[in-house]
Amino acid sequence: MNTMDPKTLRYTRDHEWVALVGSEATIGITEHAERALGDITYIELPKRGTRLVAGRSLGVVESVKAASDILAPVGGVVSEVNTALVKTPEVLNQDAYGAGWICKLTDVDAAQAHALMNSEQYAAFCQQEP
Amino acid sequence: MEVKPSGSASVSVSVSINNRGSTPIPTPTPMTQSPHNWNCWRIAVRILSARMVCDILPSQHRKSVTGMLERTILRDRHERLGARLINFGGWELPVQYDGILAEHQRVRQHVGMFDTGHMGAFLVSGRESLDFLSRMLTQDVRAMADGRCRYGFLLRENGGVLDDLIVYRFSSTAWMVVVNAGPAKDDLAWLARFCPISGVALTDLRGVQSKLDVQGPESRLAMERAMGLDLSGLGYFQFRRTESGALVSRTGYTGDLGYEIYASPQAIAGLWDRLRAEGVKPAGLGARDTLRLEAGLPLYGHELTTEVSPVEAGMMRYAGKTEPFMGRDALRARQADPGRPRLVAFQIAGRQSARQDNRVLDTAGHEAGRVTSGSFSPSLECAIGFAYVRQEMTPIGTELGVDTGRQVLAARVTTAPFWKRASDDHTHEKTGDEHHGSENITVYAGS
Repeated sequence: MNTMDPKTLRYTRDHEWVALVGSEATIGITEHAERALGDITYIELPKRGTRLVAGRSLGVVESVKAASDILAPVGGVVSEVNTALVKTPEVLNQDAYGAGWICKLTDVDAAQAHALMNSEQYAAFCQQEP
Repeated sequence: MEVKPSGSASVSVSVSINNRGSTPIPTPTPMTQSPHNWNCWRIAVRILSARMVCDILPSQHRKSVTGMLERTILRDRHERLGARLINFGGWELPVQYDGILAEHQRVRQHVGMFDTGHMGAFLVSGRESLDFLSRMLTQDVRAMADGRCRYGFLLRENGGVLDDLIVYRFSSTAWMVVVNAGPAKDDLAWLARFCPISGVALTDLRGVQSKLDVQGPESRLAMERAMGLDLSGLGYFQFRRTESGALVSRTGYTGDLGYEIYASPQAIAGLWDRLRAEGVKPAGLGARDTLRLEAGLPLYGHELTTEVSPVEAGMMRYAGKTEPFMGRDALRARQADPGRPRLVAFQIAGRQSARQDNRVLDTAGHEAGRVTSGSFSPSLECAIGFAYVRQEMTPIGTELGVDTGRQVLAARVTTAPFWKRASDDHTHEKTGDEHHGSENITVYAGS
């Protein structure tokens, strides 16, 4: 998968990104998140066919010293999962907007995605974080 | 994001307590932290979700009298190197520079250095000092030779671990006691409480002495180049004074060759710069913790607290002397109590880690204990940890479940250390004072 242009993505306050094309979406975590977590050593991915609810946990990402939930930025049905991350979770550190994508969704509510922050708003949000 | 304390530098407080003088003996301060209430430091805070599943490194949130985080002499150097600085028990210290995994592997395979200037150290001197330390510490200090150091404990009357420590013997009338940063003030107050009116002087060395650790298989070479020393004759758990007055001990926490250096803050800063010029890169607290865990070494605040004694920790070989000492009778009573949990090392087949305070389950799904440390092991590429469990669950190979809150991970009781160097030549010069595994646990002083 080609690396996403971060300017075109939507972002949550919990540092997930979503790329929306029609009613399909790709989900990942941001560079800001992967840098803060440090070396990522494990990821728990959702199963294909799972219906995600926005704001609910879809999996877990762990670094050497911390574990965090990944929250679904939008609702939808998991249509594809980046299983390569299971063996090489460090890709999340190396290419958060490309090879580090986590899953793809169908049946996405576009309004939910548009309600999220754009890249400028997210950059400002990250600046404000302690 | 990560905790980034601000404010100007604060100065660590150095207190000298000399009981032969007029300085009043301080009353012991009560332990204010529950051993299971370490407000863990956050490497990443509120990243990705409002519910941080867990993070695992210890902290006692203690600040200096000025309310600012305490700083070591090297603090500004860390910042210039781009380190991520965090609040570690009231000290502003680097958790990582270029990444925990890279720093861990560098120390495992080559050499790295650690700022440990936050640790506590006391000078215990005077004609009664040997008798005093013999009463207060679990170490058999009478059997030590000058120039040797020994691992052991400072216990409360009930056998609970007030701290683990290394005692250095300069002579029968002069000793150094090196303790963890968090409980250092309590340790000093405890020692002062039982110190005889005359014949023993206790001096807090913090502020006048700092510390730097050089660890890894290439540490000797780096140290010899940076300090102009020949360290080939320095045995395991031995120490030496250099011509400049620094103290170098062959001790460490990685399971491999390593040195700890004590000197004035200015001398430590100079040594740091010389080691950097020799190509030695620094490593942070994150790598320090994964290295010590792989080496199978319990850590104060995790495996060792006032709630447990060396009995439960499987470390009675460091508290087994026949001479009476503080807490000895309580240890005997605890040894006879089958209801007390025991510390075990465990390994998880996959990469997902157990974290501190996760519940441990037996095969029937009943709660059997709690995790005290857990992390991904960079060397083993799987998750490892320590837990206190019911005594019947301690045999090697016992199957455990670790409840992370989301799922139950399959774990198995194993031997520690988890990681062993390919050749064991770093301990070939046996001194009789070195530490080794006890039951299935190996021990050493922690943070």
